[in-house]
Amino acid sequence: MEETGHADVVLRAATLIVLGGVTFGLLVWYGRVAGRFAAVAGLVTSGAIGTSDVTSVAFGTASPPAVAATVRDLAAAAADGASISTVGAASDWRALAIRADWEERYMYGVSALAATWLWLRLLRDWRFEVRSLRLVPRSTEDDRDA
Amino acid sequence: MPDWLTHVLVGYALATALAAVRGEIERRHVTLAMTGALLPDASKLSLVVPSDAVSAALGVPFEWFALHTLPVTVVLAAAIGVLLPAEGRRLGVGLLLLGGLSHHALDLLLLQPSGYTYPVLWPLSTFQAPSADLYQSSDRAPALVAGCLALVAAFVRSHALDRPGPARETRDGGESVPSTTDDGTA
Repeated sequence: MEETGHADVVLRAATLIVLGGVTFGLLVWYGRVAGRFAAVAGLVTSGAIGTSDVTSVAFGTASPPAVAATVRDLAAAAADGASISTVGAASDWRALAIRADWEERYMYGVSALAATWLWLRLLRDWRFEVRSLRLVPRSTEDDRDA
Repeated sequence: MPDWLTHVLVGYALATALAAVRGEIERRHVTLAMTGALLPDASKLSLVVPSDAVSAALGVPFEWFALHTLPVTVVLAAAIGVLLPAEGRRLGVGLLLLGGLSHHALDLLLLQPSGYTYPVLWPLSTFQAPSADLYQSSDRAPALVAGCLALVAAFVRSHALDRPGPARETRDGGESVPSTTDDGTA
């Protein structure tokens, strides 16, 4: 009933190679066009920012930054290295979002928790059988092996 | 992205609620939905190996964020589907896609720096809708709401199991459905 024959393994491997190739091609394609999409984010690079300060913020990871902006009247404070993002076109900020350090820690902390939970569930529910190149549900392993 | 906990909880809640009415959905299928809920964030590989580094190494343009589009999510779900047993493969891929769709639905509601959502349908379309700006990735409310939804779904599922009905039926290898809930951790 289960596909364990050599031909099935070859077929699965070939399909995975094709899908992997398609995915890689899309990653390369997106690399060519990514600059056309609206996206703004960056790091505070020019000193501490405080409420009502006027401070220069560089956006983008390129050096020199692709976009530089002047930020006014911040409702929160951020120091060098904090992540910062804006809402609105570069010439017309309509809001500013600053993520505090503890919020960053919270985000990564609960994400690590979720990743651990999912990993444990995957280990409990599924097993990867290298020889036959397939995922085997653990709950039916006894039936299959019998 | 909202935090991964929110995504995983929403995937769990959706699949568990579905399991209450679809008896063939078992614990391992719920796990697939949770996995699908994180599939688009495979793009976070950029935190480990930056796109620029890959691009420099390969000599071609490269951007991990392509993994964070719906069509590529479908490709990834199909790739995982290839590894699944033939029996129940359609259900498994369906739940992977359900999780992936929930991920994009949540991400499209995010506060976006540019005021526009990401091109979720790329390469089929480059359209970027105005962002809803409902929350940030670091907000606590989404995980709280998702946690409540997961609890409700687990409650509904466990009550469905207590009654004779579709949730008691199994069509996948004859495995018996747990008598309480499919997940002791929720």
